[in-house]
Amino acid sequence: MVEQTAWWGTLLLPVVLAVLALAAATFDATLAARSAGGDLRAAAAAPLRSVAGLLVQQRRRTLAADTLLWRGAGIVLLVAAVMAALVTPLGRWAVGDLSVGVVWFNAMEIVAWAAVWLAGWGGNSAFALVGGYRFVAQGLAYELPHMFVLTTVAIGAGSLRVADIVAAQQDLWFVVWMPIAFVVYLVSVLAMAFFRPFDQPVGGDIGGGALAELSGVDRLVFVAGRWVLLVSGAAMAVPLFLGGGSGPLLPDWAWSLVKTAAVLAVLVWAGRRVPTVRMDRFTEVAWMVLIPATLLQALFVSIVVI
Amino acid sequence: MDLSARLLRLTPPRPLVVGAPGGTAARLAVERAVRERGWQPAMSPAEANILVVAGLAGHTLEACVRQVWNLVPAPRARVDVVGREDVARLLDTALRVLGDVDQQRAEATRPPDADTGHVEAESHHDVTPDEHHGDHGHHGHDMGGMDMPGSVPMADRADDRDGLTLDQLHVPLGPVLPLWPAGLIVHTRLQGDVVQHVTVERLGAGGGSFWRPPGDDGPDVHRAVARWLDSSARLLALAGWTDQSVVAMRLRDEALTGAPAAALRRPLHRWAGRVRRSRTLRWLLAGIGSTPDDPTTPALLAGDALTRLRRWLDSTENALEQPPAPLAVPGMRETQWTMDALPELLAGVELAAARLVVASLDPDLDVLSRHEAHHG
Repeated sequence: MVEQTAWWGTLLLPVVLAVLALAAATFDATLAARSAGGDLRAAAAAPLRSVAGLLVQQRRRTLAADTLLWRGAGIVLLVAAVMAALVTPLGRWAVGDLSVGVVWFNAMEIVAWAAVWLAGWGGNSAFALVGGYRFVAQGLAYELPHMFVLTTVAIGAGSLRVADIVAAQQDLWFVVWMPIAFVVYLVSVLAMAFFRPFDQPVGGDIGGGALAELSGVDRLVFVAGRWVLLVSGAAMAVPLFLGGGSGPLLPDWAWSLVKTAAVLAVLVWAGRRVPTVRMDRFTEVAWMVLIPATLLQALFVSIVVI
Repeated sequence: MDLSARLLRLTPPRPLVVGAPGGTAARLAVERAVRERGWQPAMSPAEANILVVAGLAGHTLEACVRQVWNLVPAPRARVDVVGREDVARLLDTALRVLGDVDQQRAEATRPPDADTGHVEAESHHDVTPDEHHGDHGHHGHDMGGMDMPGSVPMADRADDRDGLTLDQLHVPLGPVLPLWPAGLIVHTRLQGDVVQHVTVERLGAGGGSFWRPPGDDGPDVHRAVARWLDSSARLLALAGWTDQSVVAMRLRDEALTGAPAAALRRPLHRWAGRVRRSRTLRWLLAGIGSTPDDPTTPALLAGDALTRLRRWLDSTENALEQPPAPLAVPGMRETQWTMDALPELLAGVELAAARLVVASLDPDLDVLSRHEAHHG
């Protein structure tokens, strides 16, 4: 029921991602304004105004920077975030219906590690470098549970193709009988997009970390890449756990969008509820709790499948 | 109207607020105005477009501020707020400068101030002038002809806490750093993100503390409450809990405008309850910056960051009770002790934890007398 789109799908995908990313950023700004007691209407316009501001802002240079890698990092992040969504179906259309779709998604999000590290390292600045270090440490903490979750889903469907995974959920969504995997997936999406509460790599305590030296268009591309990565992660939760485009009344592409928006809203909202989780504390939880939990979930799913 | 002008008009103001010694009143007024206008404060010069100096910058601080100013990309404006008055007018002026195409075009092409020179890569925001001259030959580097392009010296190496030989960077924290005590400079030697060694320096005093006005018989309730809320807000912001930090700031500003205790009590309880109940916060702050358990440690600073935050919450709530509990506001003794203890407390901790340690002790350097300028 999932089929590959014609060439226009390639053009449509970035547009859909951009709209969702902008919606998420707007929602986030509104939540921020509510707690600050500010003007909600002005807050809703804030993300677009930020874009305008970054377009006209001077690009900074730092001394002895590795300019190519530093400026390239944002582009790599943005491209990887868009490419990760290549295999995510919108209803019945996917831009690429690869036989190893899940692996493709995983590979693209790991490109983000390189991107954030390069952004931190390339600028030749201590705080930015610390931000880069932090993301690598974060990767060590969240990536293994994340991969076990993806494995669990693949075992459940008996395939790495996203279309097959959606088809396998026709009777029962995976979220129902893999709840642990679903929760760990959402946590790891926040961590991979270094989004609150896992925003330590761009933390305010080190002047914005990997973002510390970026300004103007470089900053815009990097920040946009981060939001799109969050959207890509949230969108993938729909075919993996929430039955893809299936649902009553509405066409399936609309269901995909509604579910993605709902996951995205939950992620943005939940991220604001807790302080920033530092990796010196989280790594222990990730390895001692999340890895065993996801392994048990994988075992349970394997037994059911057999 | 051309495109640049239109984009400039849309540019959201991002103020980077620099607290000068003795500038607490100005800082509070600026932070309040910024929040009420819905502006997002900047965390770094790269993100900022308005540089706000709160208080009177002395000679040394002014040199640092100039270096930071050179790091702020155009469009940009600088504002010096000396007192509590006039904040609105000054920020409006900054906004006008920000939207002025001709002035910003000139700003974008202006070379950095000749007397401040370029900024070394290791220590962007917070360079102190005595460490910073054209030849970059200071801070113990002995790297003869091995300079990289741009005359940045190679980093030193030394054993780290695990016995590995790693690069070490000299990174000063402060005096221009958001959510940092005004006038404090902590010179760190970093390996990765671990602080290996620390020396503490203090910028010249700015004439008395806002929180402890001289010659008064006891601190007044509203100011004491505002002090605790200010400290909590800064600690929560550094802990990454922006929403609750902003609530604390709102309460602080209300307390400073003299809102009646009865009006403050309810929102305060709600906020304090939420902060106290957060299991994540407990898990993240426990064990950070534990002060030694001996009689020389001031009672107000005993325990770890979590204990101190809770003490602020309790003090705030108790102060508004009827009858109010006696106020124990930190003063000279606490600040002096903190300055002396920081090198030991910060050695071997990660940068994130180091910032939490300083914020949880929140020394008010303005209470110290003019004479003791150097420590550590």
